[in-house]
Amino acid sequence: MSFPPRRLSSTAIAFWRDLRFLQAAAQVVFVVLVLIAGGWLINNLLEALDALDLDLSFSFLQRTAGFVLGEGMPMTRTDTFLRAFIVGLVNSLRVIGLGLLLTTVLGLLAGVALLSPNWLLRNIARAYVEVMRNTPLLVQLFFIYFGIILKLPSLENRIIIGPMQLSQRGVWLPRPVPASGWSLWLTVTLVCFALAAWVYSHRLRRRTLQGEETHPALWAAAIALAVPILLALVIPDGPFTWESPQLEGLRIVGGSRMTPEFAGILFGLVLYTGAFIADIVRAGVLAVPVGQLQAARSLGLGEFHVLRHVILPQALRVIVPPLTNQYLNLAKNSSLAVGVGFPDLYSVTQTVFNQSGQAVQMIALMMTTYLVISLTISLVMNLLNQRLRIVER
Amino acid sequence: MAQARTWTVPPPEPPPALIVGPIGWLRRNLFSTWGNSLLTVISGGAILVVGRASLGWIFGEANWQVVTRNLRVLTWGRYPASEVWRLGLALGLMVALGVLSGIAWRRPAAQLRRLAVIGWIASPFVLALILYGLVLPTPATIANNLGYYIYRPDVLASLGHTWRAPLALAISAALAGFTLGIGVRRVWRFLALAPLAAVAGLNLAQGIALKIGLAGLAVPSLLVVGLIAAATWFIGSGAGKSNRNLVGLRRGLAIAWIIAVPALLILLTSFEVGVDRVAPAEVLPLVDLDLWSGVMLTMVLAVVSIAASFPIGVLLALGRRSSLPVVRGFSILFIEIIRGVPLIAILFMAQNLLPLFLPLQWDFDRVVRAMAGMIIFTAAYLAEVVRGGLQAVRHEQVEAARALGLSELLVTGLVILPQALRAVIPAIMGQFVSIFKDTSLVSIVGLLDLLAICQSITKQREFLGTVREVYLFAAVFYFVVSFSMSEASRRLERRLGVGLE
Repeated sequence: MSFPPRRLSSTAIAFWRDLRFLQAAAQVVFVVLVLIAGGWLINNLLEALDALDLDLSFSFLQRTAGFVLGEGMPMTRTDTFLRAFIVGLVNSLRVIGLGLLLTTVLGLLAGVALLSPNWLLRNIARAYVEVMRNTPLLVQLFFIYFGIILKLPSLENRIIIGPMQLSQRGVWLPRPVPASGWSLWLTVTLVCFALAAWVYSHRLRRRTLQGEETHPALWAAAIALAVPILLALVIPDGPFTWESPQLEGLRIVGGSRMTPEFAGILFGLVLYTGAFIADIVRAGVLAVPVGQLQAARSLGLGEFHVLRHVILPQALRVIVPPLTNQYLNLAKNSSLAVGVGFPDLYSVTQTVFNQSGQAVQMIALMMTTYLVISLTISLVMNLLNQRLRIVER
Repeated sequence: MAQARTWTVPPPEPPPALIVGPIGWLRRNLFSTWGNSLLTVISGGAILVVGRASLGWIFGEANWQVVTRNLRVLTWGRYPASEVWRLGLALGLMVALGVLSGIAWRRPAAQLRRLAVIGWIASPFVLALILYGLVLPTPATIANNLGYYIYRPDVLASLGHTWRAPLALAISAALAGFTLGIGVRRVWRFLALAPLAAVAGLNLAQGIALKIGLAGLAVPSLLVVGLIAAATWFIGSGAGKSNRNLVGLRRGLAIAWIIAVPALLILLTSFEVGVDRVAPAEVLPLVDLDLWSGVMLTMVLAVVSIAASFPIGVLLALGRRSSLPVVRGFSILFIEIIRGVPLIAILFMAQNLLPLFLPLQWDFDRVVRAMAGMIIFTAAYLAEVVRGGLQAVRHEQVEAARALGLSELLVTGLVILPQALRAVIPAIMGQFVSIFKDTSLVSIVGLLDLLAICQSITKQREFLGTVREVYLFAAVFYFVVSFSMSEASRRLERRLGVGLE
């Protein structure tokens, strides 16, 4: 028995059953709907702006601000809105930059503590992480700023811990002031570092190529550290002198000051984000299979080499992506500075909006700035991530 | 031949006291090495010092009256005292629903489960009614407003209510057309046509009035209504062809009518003309949203954001993985922009920009605007979480489902989503915890949530300087709720054996 050959697509598919047509049609419908909605929104906006007698130009940024910001770059009452915005931006960047640095250190330390064999230390770290993760950042900020920093003693009764001086008017640290030998020291240090880098790469190459132990790191460290120390005995002047803060009448002169607001937002952000990073570090290290550790030990590697060449490279691969998220969170959460009265990007945007009424432009400007900051951080972290990737053969 | 000797195995000696028991535990965990012992001493000393100081402060110096005396303000805020029973009722309903769900999901109880699902779906509306209040038109308002429709339709235009009549007409026409289309008995046909006739009769003046249509032509509304009725009749007669569909359709239609009749009534009668004479009947007095505050506002914000952002987040995640480039691009743009800016910026935008983008006469309350901001923000984050789950669904599952002949909609709804969502339950719960914590940010844009109330309490004259007590109380509240949410999520995770990796 034979079947007649089936005729394949004797007639074209009707166009309303054609997947390609359907997909194209769905997209056209979607675009039309979005356009209609967008047009409606923009039409409303234009009407509203008309009614409020506002426009969409950015020229208002050149107008005189008429207010000054509590801290940051110098600013006078007659400066423009644009200047105020830039001051706010720089303030935000200062918090973000310092915060990223400190929170990484704290997160790393707390993460190591979470892995510690010591029961007490481990549980202290766990309690810290749980408390920080389960309460809102804003509550923590308020507690730190209103409950701790502003409750510190006044300037006369300030607390002095080593070089640090704490009072409700801020935190003072000694400030390095370049001394007469400054330029000489700078040159010597730079030369030493360049030399150390060259020796390191040179000896490393020799070790890789010829297999003899050349101790590149030891040599580099010796050159970078030992030479300046030896020089210190020869050159009489130090690179800088420390200018420590002194109480003069009702204010403190000298030293570098951290305002209460800056200290509040910085410590709040660092403590909060550090807890999240600690957990990430812990999870990353635990993600390295225990067999790797045992194999490395059985090869006779020392603890340091196990950490440096076996655990760290594998753990970092797990750690970096969520770490990026936490860095981004820190950058975005820096906008909570407004809660403690620190004039950051968001706070300045709010002030300028209140003064000028230009909601659309200010919000667009602020959102774009935050987007750029976020994108920069994720770009840098993605580059790092790519370098850490397993190179597959 | 050696004589067999018997060996008696000596009983094992007890392990040395220094390895087992409390002393062994101490040695292993606290004093295993010199460094470890040092760490123990240092951290133990630190705990002792900090703990003594904190306990001394908590039980000695702290003035907890600031919390106890203000407990009502902290929980209900400015919600009218006479109406607080409604909050209790709402809370009770939510707890009952939670318990019901707990029972329904613990053992296979399909009937209970359906009940719980219906309860959850209905709960937003019920809660809104209870918390916000309910005002129904009285016979007097109805008569008054219908009178305006019949005798003075010209007045309505000046009041800006002209859209109500055409909308009511369109709804009743669509329902009537559909009912007739699927073929029902004569009585039902009459019942379907009666409201249409009534509404059309009421709006005769508006129906005949000429309007400028889409094509720039002048058309009477009745023509449009007729077209809608005809179109829905056509759809109905097409859909009603198969007998199996018919049962479901009729049931759906019955529900549609039950909803439509009160909706039409409210549409046509709840506006204020001649306010002096006809005040609406207050079933439950309205509580202005501005009065929602304290813990209550915090909880409402959290629940609304969670409930409303979830479907949007799922849609965005599906959109991001769509095969249509335009939809995908739109989803990616939306998600990435929202995720790139701080929540506080979004809330600021929702407060100040949203009103500008909407018609001037739409006057949203601050609370609603904050909710909108929170929902948009959370949806973008949830979308990324759900996307992770979507990527974890094995491709064979999709192929198998397609091979069975399921349509794309069914493949997504019955095969992909259940597996994807199940895989990311822990991450979703983590997101919910973070939404709950994030509600505290609304205090910056001027809402009176728990944190804002705390802030104002610290400024009361008799309690000046009680900052630590108040914020510690707030922290404990947030901690208890967040921690129990995370704990619940962990238990759920263990029971279902879910989670990526």
